[in-house]
Amino acid sequence: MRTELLTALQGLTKATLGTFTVVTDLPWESDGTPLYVKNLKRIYVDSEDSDLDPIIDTLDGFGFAHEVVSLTVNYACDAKTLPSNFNTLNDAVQNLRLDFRNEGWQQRRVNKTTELDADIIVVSQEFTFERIVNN
Amino acid sequence: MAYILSAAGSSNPVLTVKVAGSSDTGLAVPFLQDVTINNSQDIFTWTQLNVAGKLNVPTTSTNSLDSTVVVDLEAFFGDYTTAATEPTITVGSGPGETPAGTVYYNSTSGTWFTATLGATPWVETSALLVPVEKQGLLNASKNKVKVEFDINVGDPLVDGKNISGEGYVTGLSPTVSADSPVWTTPLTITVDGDYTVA
Repeated sequence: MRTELLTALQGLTKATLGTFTVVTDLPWESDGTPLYVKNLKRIYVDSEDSDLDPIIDTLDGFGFAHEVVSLTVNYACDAKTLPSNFNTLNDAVQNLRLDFRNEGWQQRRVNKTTELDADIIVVSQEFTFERIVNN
Repeated sequence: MAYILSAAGSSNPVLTVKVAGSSDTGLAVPFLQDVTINNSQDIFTWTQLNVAGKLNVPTTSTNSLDSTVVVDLEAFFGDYTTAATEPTITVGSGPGETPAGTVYYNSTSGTWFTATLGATPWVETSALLVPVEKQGLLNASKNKVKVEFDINVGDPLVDGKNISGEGYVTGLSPTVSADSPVWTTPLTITVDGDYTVA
């Protein structure tokens, strides 16, 4: 899903992205500071976490499992002077969850949190995708 | 003493159901979730003045095989064509030909037909003789088809046993809920007579 989400982010219009750019690197930390805080207005996508919980098991080895995939989109900018497209960008990233209709995902959720770190506002949008898969 | 394994592979129970007395391949019921083989004795009870406790003697037994399965479209509804009028076919194994043994249900007359090599491609077949793998478990129940069943307990190639018998498919009640990803149904085979253990 990381690749798909990166592709969707890169597909946002220039008007929506404004001065923000999408970066394909992982948001690793340098001296304890995540890259998205060091490099403002860069949109990073973390690596995905996935979980498979069994729902139905059958004696012949068939069955269904509940798959949950989650990954976070992070970006930051100067809190003193927010870019004019800040809210538009937040909404556009949040609405990207609806792009993934055809992969069988039954739940597509986003939790957005914002945090102020000195004069920097950090936005984290956690995407969670859920579906039923068979064995 | 030895455990009876049931892991998927060679030890898992496989329930095969076919028309009793036929040479059909039979339907290997897929996606079994659980199986219970019941043998319940009817008891005749009486009392005597010289005995403090009730006296019991077993008479005949009531046997049944209960299971829960995930509903498979073909196993449950069957593998046949429904048509209001007789389809025009050529029976054979060549391209564009209908294989012999193909089943068709005439919804106008409510009768079953089997594709047969020869002058008459569709030959009427009694619902009681249409293979279970063709008519499906639902029709086998509705048509009160007498079936022959076989189930292995453990690995039959090693030290497992096969339990077989004849009976009738009943107890189907497919269910689904908002929390369930698939339809499941109980399945009961009410046994006519006794089990055979081999």
